[in-house]
Amino acid sequence: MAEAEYAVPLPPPAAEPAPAPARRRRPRRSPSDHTGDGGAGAVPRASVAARALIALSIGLVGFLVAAQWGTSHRHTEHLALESESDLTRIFASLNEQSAALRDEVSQLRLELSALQSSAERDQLARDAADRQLSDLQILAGVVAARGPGVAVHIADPKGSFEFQLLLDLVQELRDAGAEAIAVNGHRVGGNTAFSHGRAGVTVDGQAVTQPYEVLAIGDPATLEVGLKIPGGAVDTLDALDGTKVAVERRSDVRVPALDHPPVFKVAHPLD
Amino acid sequence: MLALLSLLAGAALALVVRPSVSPDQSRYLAMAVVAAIDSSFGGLRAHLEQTFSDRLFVLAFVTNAAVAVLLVWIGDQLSADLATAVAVVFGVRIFQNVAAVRRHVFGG
Repeated sequence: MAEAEYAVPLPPPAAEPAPAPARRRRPRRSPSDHTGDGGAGAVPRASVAARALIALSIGLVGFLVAAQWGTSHRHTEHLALESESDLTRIFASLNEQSAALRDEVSQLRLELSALQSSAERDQLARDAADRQLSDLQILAGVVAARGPGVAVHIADPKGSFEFQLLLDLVQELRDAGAEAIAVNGHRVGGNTAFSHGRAGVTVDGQAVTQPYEVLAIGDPATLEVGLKIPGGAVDTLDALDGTKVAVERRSDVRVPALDHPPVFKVAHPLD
Repeated sequence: MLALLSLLAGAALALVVRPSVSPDQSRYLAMAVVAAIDSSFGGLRAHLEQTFSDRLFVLAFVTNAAVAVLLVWIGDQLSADLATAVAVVFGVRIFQNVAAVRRHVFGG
């Protein structure tokens, strides 16, 4: 209402355009004098271009208002309306939230690294167990094995070969570090027994006949040296009647698994 | 009539285009809008007083908006809240113009 009061004195300057009152309104009026007091004629006299410009300006106003309207709704946060104490409270709570979230992040990181390390430990333990398992399987003879080693060929046309000699030979090979041994295709395991059968030597109750072939996996050189020790297995075999012994190094020896893996009925692990 | 139509057309265009105004620019645009509204009412008043000049209307329209934006910008640079000053000035002027229009329309 106060503005209306202010506005009242303004028309006089409009009536006397020449005195140049103030601001934009004055220049707008002074040319109106040039156009004369055309009355209603002032607007119709405007050229097409001028009318287009005016329309453009007004259109621009509409455009800007609408644009600003939308954005102001989008951008006007309630924050601007909050009091200082409310803002402080909001800020504090946001700070708290962010601190809590940061705590959570670091805690989850810790958990993650703990899980990762335990997973690594598990993996290591599993790998070790796997290795041990395969070692034990080879040792027990329940799996076929391959590797460098030696082949011992014993020709015994006169049948003078005894199972004790075979036992000595196997013993000698083990002494020299043989990891897996087979006699004529029969794996020698932890509780393999040699004995004397009707046809000659038996391994785990199965007869083997000459020529004998003993395969051993291990360091070929060491095995050969172990076998050829003076007075050792080879010497002893050579001394028999009619036997011929040949030791051959091989880069790839394959020994089969036990025909019948041992089944323990009585013995149980202590632990 | 033409002015009213173009006003609606501009508004419709803005609604269709949905121009995105960043919060920073929004301050300046708001001032420009206030200045433009003032100019529009000034033009309406001049028209009713039969002192309307198209040339000056367009000129005032542009310069007012530009000066308003410039003032706000300078105020921001000087960290003085000139936006309020501009808003107050144009607000008062809008009131004055509307009052003048009212007097013309309803007689005063």
